[in-house]
Amino acid sequence: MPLTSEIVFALTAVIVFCLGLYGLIAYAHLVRKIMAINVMGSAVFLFFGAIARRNFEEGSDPVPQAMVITGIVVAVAATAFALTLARRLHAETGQTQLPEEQSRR
Amino acid sequence: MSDALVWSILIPLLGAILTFWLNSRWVAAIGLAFSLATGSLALRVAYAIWRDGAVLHEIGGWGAPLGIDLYADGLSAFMLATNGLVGLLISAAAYLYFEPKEDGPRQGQERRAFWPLWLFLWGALNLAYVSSDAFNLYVAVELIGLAGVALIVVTGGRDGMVAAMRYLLAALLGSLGYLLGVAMLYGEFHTLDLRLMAELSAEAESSLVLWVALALISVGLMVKTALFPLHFWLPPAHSSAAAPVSAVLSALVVKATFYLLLRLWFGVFSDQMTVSFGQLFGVLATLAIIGGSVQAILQRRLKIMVAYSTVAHIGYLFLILPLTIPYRGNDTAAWNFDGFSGGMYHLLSHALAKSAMFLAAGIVILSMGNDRLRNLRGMAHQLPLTTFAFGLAGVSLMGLPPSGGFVAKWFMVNAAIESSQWWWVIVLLAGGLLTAVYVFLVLRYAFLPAHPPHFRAPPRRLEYVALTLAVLSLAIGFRAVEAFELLEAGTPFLTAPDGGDGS
Amino acid sequence: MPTGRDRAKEAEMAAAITPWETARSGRAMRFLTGIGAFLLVILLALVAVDLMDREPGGLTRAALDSLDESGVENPVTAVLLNYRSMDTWLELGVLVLAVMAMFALQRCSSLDQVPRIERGGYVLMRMSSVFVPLMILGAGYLLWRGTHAPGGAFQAGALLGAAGVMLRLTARDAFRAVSGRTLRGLIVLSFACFALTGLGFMVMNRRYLEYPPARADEWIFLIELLATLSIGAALWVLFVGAHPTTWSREKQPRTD
Repeated sequence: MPLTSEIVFALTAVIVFCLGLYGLIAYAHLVRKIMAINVMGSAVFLFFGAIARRNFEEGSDPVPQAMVITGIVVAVAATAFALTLARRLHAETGQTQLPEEQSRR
Repeated sequence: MSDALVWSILIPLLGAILTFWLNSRWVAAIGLAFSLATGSLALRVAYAIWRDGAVLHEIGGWGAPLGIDLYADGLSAFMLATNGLVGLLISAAAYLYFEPKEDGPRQGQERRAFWPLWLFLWGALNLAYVSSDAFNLYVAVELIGLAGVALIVVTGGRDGMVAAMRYLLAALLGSLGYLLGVAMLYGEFHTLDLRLMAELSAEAESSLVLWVALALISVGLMVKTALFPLHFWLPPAHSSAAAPVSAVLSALVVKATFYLLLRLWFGVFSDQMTVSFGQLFGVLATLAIIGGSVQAILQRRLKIMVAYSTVAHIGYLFLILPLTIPYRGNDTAAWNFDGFSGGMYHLLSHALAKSAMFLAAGIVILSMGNDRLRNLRGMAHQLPLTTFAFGLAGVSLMGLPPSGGFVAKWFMVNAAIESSQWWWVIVLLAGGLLTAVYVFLVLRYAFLPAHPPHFRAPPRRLEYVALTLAVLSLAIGFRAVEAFELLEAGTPFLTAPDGGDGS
Repeated sequence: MPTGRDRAKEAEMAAAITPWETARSGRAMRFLTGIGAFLLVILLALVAVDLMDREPGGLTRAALDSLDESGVENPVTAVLLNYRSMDTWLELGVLVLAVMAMFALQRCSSLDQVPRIERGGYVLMRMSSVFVPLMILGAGYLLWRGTHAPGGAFQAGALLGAAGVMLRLTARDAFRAVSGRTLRGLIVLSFACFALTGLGFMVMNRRYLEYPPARADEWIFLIELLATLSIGAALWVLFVGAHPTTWSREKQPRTD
């Protein structure tokens, strides 16, 4: 099987997605978590890009490309809100990470 | 008629931006008016689908696969109607709950923040029920998640913010898993339309791609639905919000992603619905029912107890899988929809009962200052209506006759016996008993004689709203036939995707 | 000579900055997560390779075939603003929702309560006075370009938003010049107009958001123009993170 560019894209996307997932679970700092989610999002967008390029003779598929643009705006909006929330949490609690789950009896 | 699908999305969304833009004293009145329109329209759409069958609206006139289709069959209509009915009553409750009594600045702010977000959420929920496009549904799911998180922080508070942050991270992770799965589905089927995908997948042979897409989508949406091992975010999030918000989140929001899972499982992934897949979810459901109920019993505060009860009752919903997929043979034609209908009916009765319970808990906090169980002494004397509402809702959750919960359980037990899977009968009955334990735990304290030291009379009309919800959760037990007919309108999942276009 | 209080404050700041490395989970937990992620890479890689090896397909043909009726020349723009305009409309909705959510969270903080930003140095100030007009110009160019080549409302709106960010960073607060209602109006403008346009077509016996093919280009350009403004405004507000005036006291005159 030839190592075409879309395979490289798709494999990169897969690796980056899992790196993001690792970062989200392994690190406690909220900004890291939010960045990890963004990394995962970018990986998914790259995956869409790889799918769009598959049939390059006809020109790349515009539908996944448009979905990526929509997805980016959604991600930006969600990230902005997540960062605001993280800042508010920091202002209220002085913490940059979520407290351990405590049982509230 | 097909235009009504668009209206059911547009009215709440336009209401949301209007209340957001105006931001005036009239926000609550305008919001309530839009809620009334949204709710009654949803019920009308459901009625029309019950009468005439499924409805299709091709947005932009392109039609799938190039364009986006809105498509509502009986299942969508059932969800729309559930949302409409419960949403209407919760709107009324929110109108009363966020009423600025002392005219302090905070109450006014909460009201101004609540109405736009709630209407937006409602529009996004309706969108999720009528859209037939996997990516469009991703946007809907993101909207639902963001609005849900924002509603938690409307009342502020440190606990609320921590809970909201956890919920937000879980929600974003879940939707990314879903989106990656959708990317794979697009790569496989070259379309995003769920109905086209269902047709194509019926012909395609099962492949690794489909299984991995199924896993990603299932896990992603299970995080958002809070199925047992992935429920960690739900109890703090649902218990730290204001009472109407808790009601919305528990009654409606978690059901949206569950609905989406059903659509995908029984539509797109019908080939992958093997016996072991069904039994796996049966096991998860059992863990949810037992674990959630035990946690609920152990809690010492009313609201968090009710939140854990939601974890348990989400478990019942997932029993749909093992009950629908026949225990012998992998034939989609042999799916048993009795268990399915029973599960959906449980969804409706839980939505009504749980919102009644959360409103009751909110009334308790308003009038007694906090919701510690041992402070509930004297509740039955001081708040007879609220106590009654809580008890009625409890009856429905336990599944005692003649409640909606009873009808739901009856059908589910029947389906389990018919398909000779007696072990789920035990789970269903045990769940009912455990529910009874925590409901009676609350009622026991409520009936202890005492005079609460700092009692403030709550808005009487708010009590009536909670009572109405509770009575409805009981009364729907008498009108089950219509609901089951509605669920079958337009034959969701039973092939014939071209049949019954009412447009 | 640092006092005890200073030191305590320093320690507090350090605590706020350093937890980058202190994961909640222990080493073992992290190791397991790493193994899990690695296994997931292998599984997903198998799927990815399998998917890339498929027959050509997709919606390229369909998108190009209908391009003439779509009113634009660039297929991606055609997908965004005509074939799947519903997505784009909702995406404007996501931005509106993010701003709503932010205001709900920060409802007490008007601009006076967020950290003040000092005026920048000479270079930054001079640069921004060159760059901001250029960015606005660039936004206009991207918007126009979108009809026939990659570009369009989102890129243009992002540039506009960035210009707003630059203004904020140089403490030239144009933000103070707008009232809350104007700003919110600007943010919901394109979402509302998009919806009302679509409704207009629907009332005239077409489908929701179904443009008349002959006039599609004009409608699309109008919507893109409004979307650029709304996106720019939304991104700007999300960066500043505050409402121009205190959220609940809309009518009060500003005090500064």
